[in-house]
This record gives sequence, structure tokens and C-alpha cells, in this order.
Amino acid sequence: MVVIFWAMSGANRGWTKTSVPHTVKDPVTELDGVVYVNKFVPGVDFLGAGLLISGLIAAVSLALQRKK
Amino acid sequence: MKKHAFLMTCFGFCLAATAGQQTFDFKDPKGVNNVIFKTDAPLESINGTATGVSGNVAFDPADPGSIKGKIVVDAATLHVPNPMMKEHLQGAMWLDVAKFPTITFEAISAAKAKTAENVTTADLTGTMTIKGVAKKITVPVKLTYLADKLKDRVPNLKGDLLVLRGTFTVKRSDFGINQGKGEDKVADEIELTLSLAGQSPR
Repeated sequence: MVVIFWAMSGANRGWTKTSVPHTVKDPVTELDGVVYVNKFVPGVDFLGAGLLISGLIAAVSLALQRKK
Repeated sequence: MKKHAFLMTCFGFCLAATAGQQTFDFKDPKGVNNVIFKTDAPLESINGTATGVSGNVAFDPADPGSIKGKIVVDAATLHVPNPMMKEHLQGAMWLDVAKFPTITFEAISAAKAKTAENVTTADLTGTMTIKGVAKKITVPVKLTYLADKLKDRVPNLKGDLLVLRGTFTVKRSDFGINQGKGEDKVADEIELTLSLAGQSPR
């Protein structure tokens, strides 16, 4: 699930972002202005943490099953 | 009477000498002005933007080489898309924004000024101050003078615009920014790109 979510969000190989830049051209000066829009883009840190948590849950559930 | 006439003549000469010079205010009401910074280290590439730009520049369209002025960037407006990275960037170890709230460049002279129509290219020499450390640097810039264009940007306001563009590199080690540390993630050389417009209302 974590890998699918990460891949569907653009497979960002950098750190997780909470905003993304958009360029807006000023018609008079022709300067490119930068506007940041709030958007969650999971990065490799999110992917790693998600995989680690998934692994821990799997290990705990396996250990509990064996105890039974 | 002679003394009075002499003073009037001197005043006339002074007025004539500064008649073409205009002061452009770089606090942009449209919020377009920005400085983009980029570092490309072996492990990480970081791009960010600062939008809190202000300052005044004196510019004479008839003598572009006489340009002088100061651009001020509010360090608290430095933004990167990762919130933890932004916290580190503005923190005491890196830019220490709480203690050093502004980054400034004060142009004192221009060289190699070449003008074609309303566009001037020049090398501006001035003092760059980052994290309280001042260093003399030379910055290649492109200036575009847009006469009577202010009304197209700000309705009901007549005047001129001055667009300033430039890309140059500074070394963070020159300004004592976490010197010699973390260069695998944040390169020593930081590329800065200026996209600024100033207005001179009449």
C-alpha cells in the first residue's frame, strides 16, 4: 500500500514535500514569479518509514501467530 | 548678490546632473519579485525561493552605468518544500534568521555597461551581507527599463519600471554558513537567481 501510494503520488525520490512551486509569469515585466501551493508529496523518507512500519507489523503479527 | 547667483548656478548644475536619475522601489505590490537559490551536492539537490524583497535602486536610463542601490531580502521568507529542511535552513546552524533577519546586496559601482534599446547588461560590484558577514562581490545583471509601464501593472499609477535579472554564485563558506560541514548534502556553492522589478511612480 505504501509503495503504491508513493508511486501514485509521483514516485518522488527526494524528501517529502508539503508544498510545490508553481511559476506564474508577470505579463508586463515578463518575470517568472514563484507561488507555493500546499500539497503533500511523499518522498523516500515516507516510503522508508512506511516500509519499516509495515515490516514491524508483519513481524509482530507473525510472532503472535506462532505463540498461539 | 554675486554669491546668491553663484549658489543658484551650482543648484542648477546639481539639478541637471541628477535630472535623469530615478529611484525605483523594489517592494513589489504584485509579489512577483523573487530570489531562487539552488545547491547541487553529491547526495542532495535543493531548490528554494525567497519572496520578501525590498530596497531602492537609483537608475538613470541615460546613464545606466551610474546605477546604485540596495536590495534587501527578508530571510524569514526563504522557503523550501520540505518543512524540516526549512526549519534547519532558517535555524541557528545555517542562516540563523532570528539573529540575522535580512540578506542584503548594496551596489556601489557598475562596470562593462552595454545598452541596446531599453536593455542594459552590466557587472555590478557591491557588498553582499549574509548572516552578518559582508563580502565584496561582482554580479552580472540585465536591466530592462520599461518607460511608462507602471500603469499596466498598477492601475491609476503612472511611472516607470526597472526589471533586474541576474544569476551568480556565492560560497556559503565565505559567509560562515555552517562552514565545511554537510557539503555532501548542501554544496558550498549556492546559485542565486534574481527576478526583480522596481517601480518609480511619477
